[in-house]
Amino acid sequence: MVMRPTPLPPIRGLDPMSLTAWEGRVAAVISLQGCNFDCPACPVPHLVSVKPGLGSIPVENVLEAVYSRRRWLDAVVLRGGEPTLHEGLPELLRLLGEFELRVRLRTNGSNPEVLAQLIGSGELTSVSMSVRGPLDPAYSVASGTKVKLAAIYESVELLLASPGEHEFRVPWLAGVVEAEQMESVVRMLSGARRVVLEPSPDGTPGVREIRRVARSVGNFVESCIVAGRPSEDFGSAARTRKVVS
Amino acid sequence: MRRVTLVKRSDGETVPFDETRVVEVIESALSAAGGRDPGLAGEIAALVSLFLEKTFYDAVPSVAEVEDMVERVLIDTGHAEAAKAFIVHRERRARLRSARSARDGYPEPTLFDQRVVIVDDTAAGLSAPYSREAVARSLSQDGLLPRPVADEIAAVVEEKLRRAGVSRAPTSLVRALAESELLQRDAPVDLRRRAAASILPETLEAAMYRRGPRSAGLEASPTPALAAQELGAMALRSHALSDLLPSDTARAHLDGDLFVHGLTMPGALHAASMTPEDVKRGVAPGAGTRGPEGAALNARRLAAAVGRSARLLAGSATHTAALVGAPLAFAPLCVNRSREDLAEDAWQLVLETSADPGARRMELDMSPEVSDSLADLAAVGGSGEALSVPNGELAGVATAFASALLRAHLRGSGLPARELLPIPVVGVSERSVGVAASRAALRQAAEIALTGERVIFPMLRDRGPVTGTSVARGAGSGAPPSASTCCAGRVTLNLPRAARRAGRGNVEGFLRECDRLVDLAVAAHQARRNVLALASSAPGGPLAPLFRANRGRAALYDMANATWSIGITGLNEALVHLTGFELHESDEASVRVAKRVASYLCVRVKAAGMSAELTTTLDADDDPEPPRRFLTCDRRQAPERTAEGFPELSSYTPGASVRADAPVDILLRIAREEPLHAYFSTATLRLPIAERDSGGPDGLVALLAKCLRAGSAIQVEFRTWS
Repeated sequence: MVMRPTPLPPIRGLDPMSLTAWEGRVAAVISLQGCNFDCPACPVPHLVSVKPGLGSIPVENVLEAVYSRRRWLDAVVLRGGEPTLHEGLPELLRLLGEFELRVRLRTNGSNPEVLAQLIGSGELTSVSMSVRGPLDPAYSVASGTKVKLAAIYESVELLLASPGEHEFRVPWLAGVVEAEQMESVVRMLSGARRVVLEPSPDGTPGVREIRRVARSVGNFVESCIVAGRPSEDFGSAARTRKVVS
Repeated sequence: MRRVTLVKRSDGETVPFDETRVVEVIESALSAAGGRDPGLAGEIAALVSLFLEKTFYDAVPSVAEVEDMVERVLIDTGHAEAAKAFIVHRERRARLRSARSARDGYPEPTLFDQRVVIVDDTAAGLSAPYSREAVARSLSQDGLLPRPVADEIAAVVEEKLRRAGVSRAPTSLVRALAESELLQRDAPVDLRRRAAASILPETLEAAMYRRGPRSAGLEASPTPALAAQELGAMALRSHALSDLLPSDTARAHLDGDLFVHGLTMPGALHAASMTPEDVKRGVAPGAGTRGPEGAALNARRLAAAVGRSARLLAGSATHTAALVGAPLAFAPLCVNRSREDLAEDAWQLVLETSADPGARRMELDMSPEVSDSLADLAAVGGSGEALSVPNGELAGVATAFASALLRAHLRGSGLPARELLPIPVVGVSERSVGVAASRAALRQAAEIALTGERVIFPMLRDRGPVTGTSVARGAGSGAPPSASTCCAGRVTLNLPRAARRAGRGNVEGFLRECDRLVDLAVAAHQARRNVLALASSAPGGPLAPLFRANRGRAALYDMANATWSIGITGLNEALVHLTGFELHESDEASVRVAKRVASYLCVRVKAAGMSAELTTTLDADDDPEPPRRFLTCDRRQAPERTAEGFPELSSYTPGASVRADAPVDILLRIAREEPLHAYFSTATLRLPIAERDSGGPDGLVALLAKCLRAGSAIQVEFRTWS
């Protein structure tokens, strides 16, 4: 019997340098094709469907581009779609690990088994999980598909229990996930090391409202910031620092 | 077919067509291209006549049409080089015509007249053919000669110039010849009543009453005071070009081969820096720190004194004046001060070092470097006074003061006159990105940069505190850094022109052409050194307060330690001529050639300086003015070739940078530019970044840390937009 190697995941995008994908770090962003969610406000809808006909960027080109810039990079961020859908993801992480760069995975948390395996392998430096809403039927609405809430819960627990770096991103979705729901999510994530509250892609409801939410529930987590404003931290650790100083 | 017998001149007059003129022109074009065949010009002229007959069988051609035909026939018969020489000749004549059209009553020079002598009118920065009428008029008005004698002398001067075989002459030579002729005739007049730096009556009128052509460098609607300043600057520029600089360097400047900075202030430095410690020690000019009897020196009094000295320094430098080491110098005076008092002191220093309206902004060092060694204080000119506080605490106060300066600047960013506030200079070192307090100050600087304000981030790898200015850094690693440094002058080389002259792929030829330009630049520096020596050593000279010890105080600068900068600009466009690629294009080929050019020039500039006993430095000149002027000159000289290579560019790329709008990511831009910085004394990495992609101040700080640790960049600036 011929053993075939697992194919590497199809890469649909490469941003050779981003200062926003991982706050405070210079990172290359690799986007993989295909997602099991169909979020109504997805910022990258072209990455959702798995269509082999769309073509992809050869992996070796991406690796070469990252390798040639490795002196200038702090990290690589892998995002989707949903990266954990691909069987070849561990192999890609192993290849990136050769470059001695930090690696962050952005996931929707729907595959806790794969996530546990990846965290256990030690190839990941950081995991950024998007929590679409409180764990109730609204989650499926915010995700555009039927979601196993138990899987999401398991992923959250896994990250909270793991010693590595993690962050949870909570996006605003007008009419579904608003201030009240966001607050409820942050309470659920109590004890997390970092939570990032994101306005929707069109900017609603405005930074002021998101900041108000962060201020009201930020003390449940160590660090709570509004996306794009890393200098304003409403988390408990930052508050403690202020009191001490 | 009918032979062409008449030709129409540009002034409308119809004159007989003379084929021998055509032969002469073609001969000179062929000889300029290295041709040696004596009969070839006649054959080509016959072809021109033939085509003229075919084309203008029923009309009288104009001179321009005849010239078009000459150009076409030269190209079609495979004499491209001769055609190029002919085009250059035509272009030069066109320039003369346009310069002449600004004046009234001067006769139009005859086309094809090979014997015309061009006089470089340095006052207006233009050239015009020698005119007996103009010289005679000038002699009769200035020399109070009778008009017939003036006519006679003008004719003799013209004859002398032609016999000398010169094709170009500066106005000073024309004047000298006229004077010599007057002396021979024992005429009782003194032409030196009118100095060498002359301004034509037309230019004077244009500046004072009506605006002239933009080519004369006149902008619209000045106030009378500005008009007077403008005229003064023009007179000084004229003086510098005609009398101070060697004639071949002045001609190279006028032709756009190089750019001599500071011609409007020939007796001033190019860039200079000092530290508040100089003010404390009484070394800095113009200000004492002594207060009322018995009053101790405090931060506010020091800020006021520093402001007075800084204004004097800014008036002595044409390009940049910098105040370095401010946080460390103010730290001993700010120990145990409250946060509010510190903020007020910082705000006062920012206000005191703000520029006067119309003047260039100062650079103010706001580096939050945490230093736990008094050696650093000594390095920036520490007064050595006994300090009653531990070093570590002093370093902490310095960081707090730097932070207060940055806050004050950020607060002032909202003022209407924010363009007068000093430019923050924030050194980036391992300590400043690693220690929390310094990193916070660095984030504040990044916040200022994100507002679109200019902030300079020098990379401090192993050379301690910030020294010098952004265009002339202090001593590098290995030598003790000196805070008070000055760059006496700068000449910038037109690299695209040199590369075009050398031709595609001819790197060796390009380097030989650079050799010539470096020699011209050093000659310009030598001439300027003589002027500055007078200005700095003569009692009461304009630079004497900076260079002369007086009443027991030491001199701030020593002319022997001044640096002389040779700048390069347009390296990106030079690479297009040499390799066909811009700096960001191709794999590595263009970077290899760029490195070779930079390394060669680095050595060549040092060697040329040593032989002239000057401390020369090679710099990437980021000033936008020289590349703009160079492209304008090149477009005039070779319009087709320039238009083909750079159809949409409004300017060459300043310094040794990747083109500002090149479609590359920031990391590739850095990777292509920063290896070149190893060869320069100063160069700036300008990183374009959109505010929404910046990742906030933390993103910029992360990028700065990368530039510090991974490359050899000298200083970084951000161009941000929202």
